[in-house]
Amino acid sequence: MQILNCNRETSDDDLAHFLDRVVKFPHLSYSIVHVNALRMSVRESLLKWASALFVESSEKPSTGVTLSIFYPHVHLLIFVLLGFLRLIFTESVGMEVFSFLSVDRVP
Amino acid sequence: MSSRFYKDEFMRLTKELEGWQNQLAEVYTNFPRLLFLCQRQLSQFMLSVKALCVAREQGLPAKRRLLPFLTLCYPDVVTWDSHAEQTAAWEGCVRALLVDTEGNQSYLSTVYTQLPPAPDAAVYLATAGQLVRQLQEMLETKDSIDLDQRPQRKMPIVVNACGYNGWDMFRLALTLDANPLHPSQVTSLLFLFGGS
Repeated sequence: MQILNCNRETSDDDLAHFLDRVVKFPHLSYSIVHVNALRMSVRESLLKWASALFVESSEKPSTGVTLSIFYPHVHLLIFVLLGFLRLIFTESVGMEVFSFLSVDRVP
Repeated sequence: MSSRFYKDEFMRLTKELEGWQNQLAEVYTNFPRLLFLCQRQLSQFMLSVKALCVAREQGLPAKRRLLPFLTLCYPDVVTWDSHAEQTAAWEGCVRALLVDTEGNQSYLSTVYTQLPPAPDAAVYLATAGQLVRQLQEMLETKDSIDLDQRPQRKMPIVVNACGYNGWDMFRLALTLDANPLHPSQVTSLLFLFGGS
């Protein structure tokens, strides 16, 4: 399992770098821990990425998703399939905006 | 000294930074396994490659320098529960990559002969990527290693761990992944989650 441990210092670049792994190595499992600790702007980037995925996967559930977030210089949408990503919140800060995703509480 | 000097210097450094970021993006496209290294680890990897190239080190010293980075780039091959055949295949490939044997020249030796006269950081970065890619090509020939990247096709999920203390978080991390963690990960997880 690949882990991105977040805090106030985690930057957009760190997040983009980690999400690149999720896209390029879709056979692995990933966790972003302490999502609540991200700065607002970085959490918004994650939200944009996740919502783009959600929209695309609802439209094409069996074929994967296309993704242009973090690749703004690429005009064609990039076809991707993702690794299994968990967003782990240790405080409720900002969790409600991700409510379009399934929520799991591991005992 | 006028402010002109600082402006020019700022412009020069900005241009250099842009150039470096473009090179980095290109390297990640050509050698995606380098994405498994964070920026600091990638810098260390480049410095290690540079040190090797300068000293023309061979064999075990080269392996000692590069093995930690190569291992990080293959989290799907080097796992705690790797079976014996897989481990042997991995070690064989690393040896063939870095250590000359009688009659067989390692890939690293061929790298030394192809270096330009005055290599810069971009050369060391590309060399690091080529070493990782060459290892992948070697691993792909081994039947005991499965590099098939079947996607999981799942949407991300949110895990509600509110109110969890360090120990709960540590247990959570252990239950999330079926693959047992490597002892070094256990130590780092204890550090991350403050478990005791």
